[in-house]
Parts: sequence; C-alpha cells; structure tokens
Amino acid sequence: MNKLIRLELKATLKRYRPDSHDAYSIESGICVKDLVKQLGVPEYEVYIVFIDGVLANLDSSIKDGALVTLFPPLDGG
Amino acid sequence: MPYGYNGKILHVNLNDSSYKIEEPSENFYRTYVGGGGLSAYYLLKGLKPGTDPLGEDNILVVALSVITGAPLSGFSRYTLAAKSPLTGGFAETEAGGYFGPELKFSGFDAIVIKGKAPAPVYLWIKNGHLEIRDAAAVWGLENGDALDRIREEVGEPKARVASIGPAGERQVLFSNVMNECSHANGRTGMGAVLGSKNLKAVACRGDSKNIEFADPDTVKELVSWHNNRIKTHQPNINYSKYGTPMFVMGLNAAGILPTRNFNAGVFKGAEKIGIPGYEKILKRAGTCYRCAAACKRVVDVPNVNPRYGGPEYECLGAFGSLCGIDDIYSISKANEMCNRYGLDVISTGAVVAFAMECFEENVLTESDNDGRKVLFGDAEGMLDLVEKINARQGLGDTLALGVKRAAKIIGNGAERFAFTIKGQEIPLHDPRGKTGVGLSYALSPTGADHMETPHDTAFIGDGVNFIKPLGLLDPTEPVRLNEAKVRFFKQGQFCWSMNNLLGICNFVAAPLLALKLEKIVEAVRAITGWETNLWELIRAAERSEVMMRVFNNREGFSPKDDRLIRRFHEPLPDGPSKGNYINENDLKNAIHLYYDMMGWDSEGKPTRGKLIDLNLDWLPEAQSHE
Repeated sequence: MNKLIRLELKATLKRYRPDSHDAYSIESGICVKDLVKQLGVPEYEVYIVFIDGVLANLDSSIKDGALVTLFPPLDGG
Repeated sequence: MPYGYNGKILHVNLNDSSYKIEEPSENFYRTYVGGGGLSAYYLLKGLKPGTDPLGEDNILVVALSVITGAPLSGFSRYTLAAKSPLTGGFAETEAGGYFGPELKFSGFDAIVIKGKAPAPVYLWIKNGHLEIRDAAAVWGLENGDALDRIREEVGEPKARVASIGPAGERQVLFSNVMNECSHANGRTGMGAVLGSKNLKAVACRGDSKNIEFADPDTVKELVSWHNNRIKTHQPNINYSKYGTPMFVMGLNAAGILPTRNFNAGVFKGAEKIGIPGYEKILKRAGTCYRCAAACKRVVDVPNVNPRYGGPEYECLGAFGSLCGIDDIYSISKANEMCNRYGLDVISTGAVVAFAMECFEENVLTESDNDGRKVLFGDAEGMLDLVEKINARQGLGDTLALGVKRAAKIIGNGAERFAFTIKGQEIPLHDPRGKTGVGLSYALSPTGADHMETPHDTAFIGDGVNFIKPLGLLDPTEPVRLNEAKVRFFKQGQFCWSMNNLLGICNFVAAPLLALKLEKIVEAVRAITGWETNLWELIRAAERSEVMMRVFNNREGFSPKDDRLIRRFHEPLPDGPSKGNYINENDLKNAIHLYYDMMGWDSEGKPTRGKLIDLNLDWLPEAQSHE
C-alpha cells in the first residue's frame, strides 16, 4: 500500500526534487533512508532531517501526509 | 582541592630552567575559565606591545579549561597561545586528541612558558612534578619518532606528548604542534614559537583519579545522555560515518568549494577527493579522548604511514581543489608529510596554491624552482614544494614565511594572488556562499578563521530551531549580508567562543551538534560544583573575545585589518553560485554594526564601560583619563 508525503529538499538537494514533491508516493512502512534511496540522493548528502518540523534521522519512519525536510552538509571544519 | 581542575598553574622560565607554581583563586578560574581566557590574561599581563614573536620574550601558554578531561565526548581540547609570528597579533589554536586530558591528570591547568632554553629541551610533567630534560636526542626528529623517543626516555609508554617537527625547529611561520601524530594545534604558527624557544615538546603523564568531580553521578548520566544522542542525531551520525570529508561534495554542489586559489567554486575532480573517492582509501574511523563521535579518519594508502591519520576536509580542500589536484593518494601523502614535519595543512596548501597561480601567471618561472614550473593540478610538484618548505630549501624557504611575506619577496605583481587576512592564510570556505563565515574571517582576532561562528547554512528553514535558544528566531539567509546576519554572527560567535573556552569540540556541541546548551551548563555544574549558568559562561566567552581584541589593538591592529580579500568581492565565475560576491560597503557596514553591538567604538576598541562591565577593571585600557 502506498501513501503520499510532502518533500522539502533544501539548498543543493533541490536538484533531486521530483516534480511530484507536494504529493510524493512512497510505500507504507519505509524510513527516511529508503526514501533517500528512492529519490536517488547519496546518503552522504543528507545531513539534517526534519519530519513535520521535528528533528529526525535516516532511521525515522514516515507517517502518511508527513512533510519530510532534508538538508545537505554545507558547514565544515 | 577544587573539583574538575587542579587549581595550579605552572610557570616555567626556560632562560634559567626555573619554575614556580601559582595557585589562583576560584574567582580567577570563574573569570577566565580556560583556553583563550586564561591565555589572553597572561599575554595581556606579561607581554609588552611590539615584542618579537620569535624572540625569547614571547610568552607561550598551554591552557586547559576547568572541565577538560571529564569523560564526556569532545571535552578533550586544549589551547596553545602566544603572540603569532604569522600575524603579529593574538594567536590561539585548539587541538583535541589525548594531550589535554593527560596534562590535567598530571597536575596542572595551564603552563605559562617564558624565555629561551640555551639548548633544545622538552618538559616532562608527571603527577605534579616538572623536569626540564635535554632534547639533544629528540631535536631533528619527525613527530612520530619524537613521540616514540620521548616515551622511551621517560620510561612511560603511555606518556602523552605535544611536539614540534623539523618545520617548527626551522621556524616555518605556519608550523604547528602535533599530539599523537594526527591531532594538530594547526593555526597561527605555534610550532615556530616552540622552535624559537628551543622547546621540542611537552610530555605528561598523570592518573585520572587525581581529578575529582563535584557530582560524579550526574557526570556519568551526562556522558550516557550525550553518547546516546551522538548515535541518533543525524549530523553526528554523519560525522562518525563520513567525517569532515563529507563537506567536499556538499560545498562543490553549492558552487563554493574553493578552487585554484579561490578563482572558482566548482572543482571537476570533487568526486575523486570527496566521499566517493575517500571510500577507496578509508581504513577506519579515529577519535579523541573518550569521544563517541569518532570523526577522525585513518586511511590505507601505499607509502603513507597510517599513524599520521587521513586527510580531513580542510586538508582535502587545501591540497585538493585549491591546488586543482584530484589525486587523493597525493593529498593523503601531503597530509602525512605535514603531520610528520609539523606544518599546518591549511596554510601549507594555501601557500602552494599561491605559488601555483604565480607560475600560471609567469610571476614565478622555472628558474625560481630548480627548473620546474608547478602549475595547478601538478600533484608531484605540490609534494615537492611541501618537502622544500619543510627543508627551507630554494623556493620553499620563501614560501615557509607564509603567503603575505612570500609575495613581498617574490614581487613582480605576486601580491595580486596573495590571499591572507591579518596575515593568516584562508581556510577552505568561500564566504560568497555563507557570509557569516566572511564576518568570521574579517573579525576573528587570529586572522582568517573558519571556527569563529557556526556556518550559516545549517540554519535555513526549520534549521532555525537549532539557533532559537541563542535568541535567533529567524532562519538564516546564507548569501545575504545584512543586519540580521550580524546578529547571527555575534550570537553564534559567543556560543562557539564558549565552547572553545571550555575546550569542548564544536563537532559535538551546540548549536547544531548533539550536546545542547543546557547540557553544557549541567556538565560545568556537575564537574566543578559551581552554582553557574549560561549567563555567566557566555559572559566569560565575551570576555575572552574582548581581551583578544584589546591585545590586537595594543599591537596596532585597526578597522582596516577587519577585511576580506579582493577575490571575495568579485563575482564567482561559474557554477551554482555564479555571480555571488560580497559587496564591500555591505561588509564595512556590517563590521561597524558589529562594533556597535559589542560596545566597541568606531575604531574597534572596546569602550571603558564594556571593559568594566566584563570585570576587566585591571586593564590599563579601562582606566579613567579624567
């Protein structure tokens, strides 16, 4: 069974944004890591994850209708 | 006996091998706390303006904080400070690793070193006792060999050692101090200061039981809380899994990966030196004392000794994109050579990139370098120049003075390609894509420094949640340089300055990483037993910044030194950030707004009111002139 989520890909990750980012279809039960793979984003390009504005990580599961926000690593040291 | 620290500061005079132990009050420690604060106090008290940084009168401070050595992840950092031979201003440089905690266990919170030994020596400190030992058999050795030899001589295989390599002995102006072969007090030329004092190393050994905590149960709980969060907080997961090399691909995709001496922000070879390339050489992660974050890298590269570690982001950028080199094997070799010889990877890469552009533009020719031009992309030529810088041979002897001085000596228009701020070479971050870093470069007391304030880029959109506890309620706009950016810069600077003062690694702590502000405060309370809070700690952070500024003002620095380089005011030529530049007027306005926010006058001098507000009444600058 599939569900629809919203995607917000920040900064350089915009280049991976699918046309259907406002109603993006994913399989039920998948986590952010699976989503990232499905989008074709290399895992090392995902640095910060929010789900509905709450801090999450690659292992977090995604609820129906959630807004998933991903940031790339752009700071450094 | 205080909790968390020794209450003892060791003063050593190398001229006559004398020493004394100072036992300052709790109020002294609460005022100056650690690293930059303690160092600035001793430099402002003891150093006359105009002192030769490489003369015997310079003062070298090795400083821990009151919490250094507690078993929380990232609490291992220590500071080296002096007047910088590279900038002529305040020098401070932090390193993680294992030396800081060991020095704490050996009985001292700081060492203040004056004078110059008549012949090479090293300090050996064990459980509160100092011995100044003959370094005849150690002088001339590379860092790894020096570490082995000193451990053998003192009969302590677990002694921790911070040493200079041959580059520091030869006073290369950007030489560094290394501990355990892969942890560097990299910047501002502290290796040359040790070299000028005939001081090869400081070695120490102590028992961690020498230090007690006020509330050991809470310390234990905090360790567990922090280490668990490091495992689930995505940015920290990335630091552990990929280390800082992850930034290569990110910054390249943004079009702000410094390339060919800051000529461009996109590097064709980024994949080869970023994570896809790095995965081919990665052996395992490395770490610092009791740190669960494990962001260090160990690599498996032929002809590279793994004990010197693998290249981190700054090194990949400096010898990679900045030099137009996409060969990760050669970059790994350059990293190993810098750590063996004791050279700062940022300044060394930058001075090579400067020379490359001079060759490209025929400002330097074959005849300046034994018949060889070294153009962008020439990995073999780059390694040869690193070798010559360490040996101070040929062109290397000129480059060993740093970009600014080398450009003057080379002449012939070389200054057009010479990029430094306050005399220090520029780290591998292009402020045209994150203007807060531009303010860091312009305003840091140590010259171009990328660790002065958190980088703007993590705090866009929902990222604002990380900085709300600093009173910053709006998301950042990385490429804008406006009033809001100055506010962000200042609050971020106070936060990182507090981390630096406490010797907490910025890769495990607020605002972005795992240890939240309130947990930092809880840790200081549980370790020291002080009834303290964020207010007091942030005030201490501001105090340390202000003291460094006062030091630089005494040395003749003025608002004209708070600047960026020509290239950052020109548009990026291509890539995703094409056309971005920093407007000179915007920068000037931002800097003067910062002075206003800080309570400094239009000449960038902290006012008498600000100094007295910060308990700095004792400074001559705080005296009334009426």
